[in-house]
Amino acid sequence: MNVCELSPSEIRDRLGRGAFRLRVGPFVAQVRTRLSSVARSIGFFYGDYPLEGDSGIADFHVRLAPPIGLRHFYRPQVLFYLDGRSQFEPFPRRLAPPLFEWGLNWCISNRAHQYLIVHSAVVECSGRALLLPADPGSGKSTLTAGLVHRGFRLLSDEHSLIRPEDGRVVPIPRPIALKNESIAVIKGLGPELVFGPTFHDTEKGDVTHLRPFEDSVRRADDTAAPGFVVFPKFVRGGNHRLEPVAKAAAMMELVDNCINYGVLGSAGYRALARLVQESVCLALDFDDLPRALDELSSLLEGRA
Amino acid sequence: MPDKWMVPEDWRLEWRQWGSFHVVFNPASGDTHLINAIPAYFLKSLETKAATLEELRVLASNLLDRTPDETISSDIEALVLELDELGLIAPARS
Repeated sequence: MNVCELSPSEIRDRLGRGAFRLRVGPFVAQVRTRLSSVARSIGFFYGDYPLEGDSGIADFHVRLAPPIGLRHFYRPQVLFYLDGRSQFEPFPRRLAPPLFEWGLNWCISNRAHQYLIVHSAVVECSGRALLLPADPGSGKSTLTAGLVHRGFRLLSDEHSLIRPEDGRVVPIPRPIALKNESIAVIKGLGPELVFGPTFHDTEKGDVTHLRPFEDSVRRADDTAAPGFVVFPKFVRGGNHRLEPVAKAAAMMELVDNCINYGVLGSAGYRALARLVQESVCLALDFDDLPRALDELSSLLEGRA
Repeated sequence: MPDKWMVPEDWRLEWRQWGSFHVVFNPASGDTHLINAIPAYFLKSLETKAATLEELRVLASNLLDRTPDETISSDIEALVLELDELGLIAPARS
């Protein structure tokens, strides 16, 4: 059963009882909350995602709830719990829906050590993955949204999960987070892209999420082979360049972009070395989004 | 300065070479290092067998096809100190 087969009240009811077990890529998140804003957001973004039955193990037991006390009368807040423990300082209650997304990112980053996790967006074409590892603000989500709009399959906007046993990239398609100026840019690409509400004045500025296409969600079990690693950097008014990066340098750059490299030890090193060995490694400095998307599309389609 | 240097056997360095560069992982420290061909040559040598500075000087002279001189001596000493600082080699137990 998919989430969209439930009515809004059924979603609220299951979430309230902690009986909402969402499959997101290779993970199952058991979610509990009585916050209607989170229930609406989950119904909106995760409609195409499968629900798991009541039995079986959940990877993450997640709860969003207000802190105990009277504060909710004058400045409502929300806490994100994983396995019964609050993980962050309280957030303003109005940010509960994006907190669910940020919290799930945190769960994956801190718990999914069966994978080598690269802080990277990743899309796929013809079975080959293109990774975009970068720090926040480098334009990776903007590029990802643009590539998804051009028909490439979203594997992830935030985490490239590399399976150490065979080096394949495991999809975890989730809503794409867009910030500040990139929101208007991506909204301008076309009406087929569907966005949630924009949250203003967050720590990251203005934030919205783009709903993933149904095809990406449905094919969440289809892993991809490494194909390309492109290090993007948005350079306002700068020179455009797409140039090869020496593999040894790419490896070191990827070490810096790995979330759990230190946890995995030799297995992480081997998985990363294999990724580098099997990928074409490039650096992309861009200011002109359509041109950057043209070039990345050519790469993925084997025209470059 | 210790008499002899080596890569301790239980460190089991892992190597990948791309062109003239090597990316070395030291499981003992969890650190990853990018090094070029010359330090890689000496590090591999110290993985195989412990060596004194004098032996490394001779190795360098042979590699560069030059007679040992002060430049080689100081370069080797600096290299050994750097590899030690990076935690890639350690004094050999006699």
